[in-house]
Amino acid sequence: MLESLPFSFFNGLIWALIISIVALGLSIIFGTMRVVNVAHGELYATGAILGFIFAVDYNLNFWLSMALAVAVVGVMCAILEKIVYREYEGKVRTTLILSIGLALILQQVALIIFGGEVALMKAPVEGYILLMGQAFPIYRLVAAAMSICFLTAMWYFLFRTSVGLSIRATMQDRDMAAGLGINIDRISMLTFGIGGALAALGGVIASPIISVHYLMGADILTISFIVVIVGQLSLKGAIMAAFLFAPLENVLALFVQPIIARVISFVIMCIIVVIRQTNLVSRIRKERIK
Amino acid sequence: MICGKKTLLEIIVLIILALGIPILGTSIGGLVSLMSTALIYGVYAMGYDILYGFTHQTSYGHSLYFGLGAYGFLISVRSLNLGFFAALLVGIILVTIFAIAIGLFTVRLSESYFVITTIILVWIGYYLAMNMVNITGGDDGLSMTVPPISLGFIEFSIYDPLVSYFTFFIFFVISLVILKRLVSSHLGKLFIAIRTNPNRVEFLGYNLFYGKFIAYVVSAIFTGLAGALLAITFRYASASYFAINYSVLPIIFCVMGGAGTLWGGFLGAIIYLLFLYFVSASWTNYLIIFGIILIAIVKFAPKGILGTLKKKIKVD
Repeated sequence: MLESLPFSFFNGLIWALIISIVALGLSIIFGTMRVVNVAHGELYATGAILGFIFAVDYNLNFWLSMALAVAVVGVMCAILEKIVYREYEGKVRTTLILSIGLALILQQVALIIFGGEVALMKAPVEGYILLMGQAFPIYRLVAAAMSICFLTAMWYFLFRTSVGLSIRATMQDRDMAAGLGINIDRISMLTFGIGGALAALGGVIASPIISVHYLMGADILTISFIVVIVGQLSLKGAIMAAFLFAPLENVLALFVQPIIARVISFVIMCIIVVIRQTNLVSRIRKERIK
Repeated sequence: MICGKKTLLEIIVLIILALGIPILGTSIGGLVSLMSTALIYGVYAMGYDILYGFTHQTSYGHSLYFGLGAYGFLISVRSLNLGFFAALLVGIILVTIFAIAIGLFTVRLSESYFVITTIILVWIGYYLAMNMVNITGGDDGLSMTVPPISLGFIEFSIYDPLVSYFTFFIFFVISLVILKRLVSSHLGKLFIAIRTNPNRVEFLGYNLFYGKFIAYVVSAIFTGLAGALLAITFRYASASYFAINYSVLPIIFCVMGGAGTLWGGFLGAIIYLLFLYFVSASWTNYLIIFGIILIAIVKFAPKGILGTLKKKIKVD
């Protein structure tokens, strides 16, 4: 058991990178528009399914189908933002209902197109390397490298370009940003497009590691939400939370059943959220001072 | 008087309708069982409406209580050999304990964090139910023989469809009366105040947390009751009772029928089930329609069917 510990930990790290990408998308959507985007998991699944369809049915290579899937989902999301969410941004309840509706539609369309079966995407790089005595698929390293590249690119985009600055300003204070002459509508559209594209990207990267299924988004949605709220909406926080969550779950899975490992890590994350959000610690301290 | 004149009138109309359905039911197959399920979902939707429509808290995790209610009933019948009402009570107490424990923490969170936390909780519940096969039966579930309803001098077997229909009907009416009374009480006014302006509620010296918390627990209790009733209908419960699908249902019902009207949820449930009855047999992807309906209702009739009708009547 202990010899597979570094293996699990490493797997956890790779998984954390993929979660970071998806959660980053969720985080910027939530941050700029206050949309609790329940459809995000479906966007992730849509990305994976589109990538699979492009790669298998149209015989395109992996990278091209990835680019196409991400582009299609990104454009679709930008359009959806305009026609579905635009009027209701900032209203948590209403946008939640809209995204539930959207999630139902996307899920069923995916079922119609892809069917209910489970399929594994062929990895673009085959082969294994030996990692501490255990065979480790090379693709996972490629996936990790890719994720790091994309995360760095996103960091550059958000923190070093003027559009990124506008997005961050909108996340901080929507009205103030509008007052400063930032075109909020265009920023929202762009953010939703990028957020959806990130979800799809995560889906395509993950598709050779975990299987493609029309309901594959359910797990990652919950994990992304956890990561986003534990990270308290900051982009760095989300990535840090992902790196706390995924290795924790993977290592725990060595000792207990995988589902129990997930439950334990969910509970730990929930406790962190409740403590931080309700200021439990400071409140208890205050009571003591009184 | 237990309830107001208007409620009494509504109940009388309802009783007449309810008596009519079994008579019609002989000519239209499956109508009685469809209406039974509608009544159960009606209890679920009305309970949820207290939370969603009256205090504007959107829980995405009520299937946790739905499953707990179902299993509370099922396990106390199977393992403890309790009678009908005792088992129901056990289920409701179980739900209440969980709702109090969870509500104490989650209700304090801000709107969006509340939604997300409830999503996480429902998944925790689902994973645990799937995993604890020796208690819940996991995905396969457990079946039971429902004990007869004994009223001391007379016993009814729930296996007679008419008996079960009227049992659910009675539960529905009891829930309706309780909830109507709650809504028109001072506490109900507090709920509406919370919906309208939570900051002002605090300024006026009311305890915002208390109002939200009570609404949460009340809605959880009725959700648990609905879960137990559904388990009674199927004589069976499985881990799927905890699945997130059952959390989405009351949202669909309330949004469709009209949030904050109590009746709206029931109307939404009837529409949903009728739709299921006529369309799902020929087209399995009927959920697309509900996705479109949800979006369309938010866009064109944000108050839901009943809310829009009420407004129209008032204007005319």
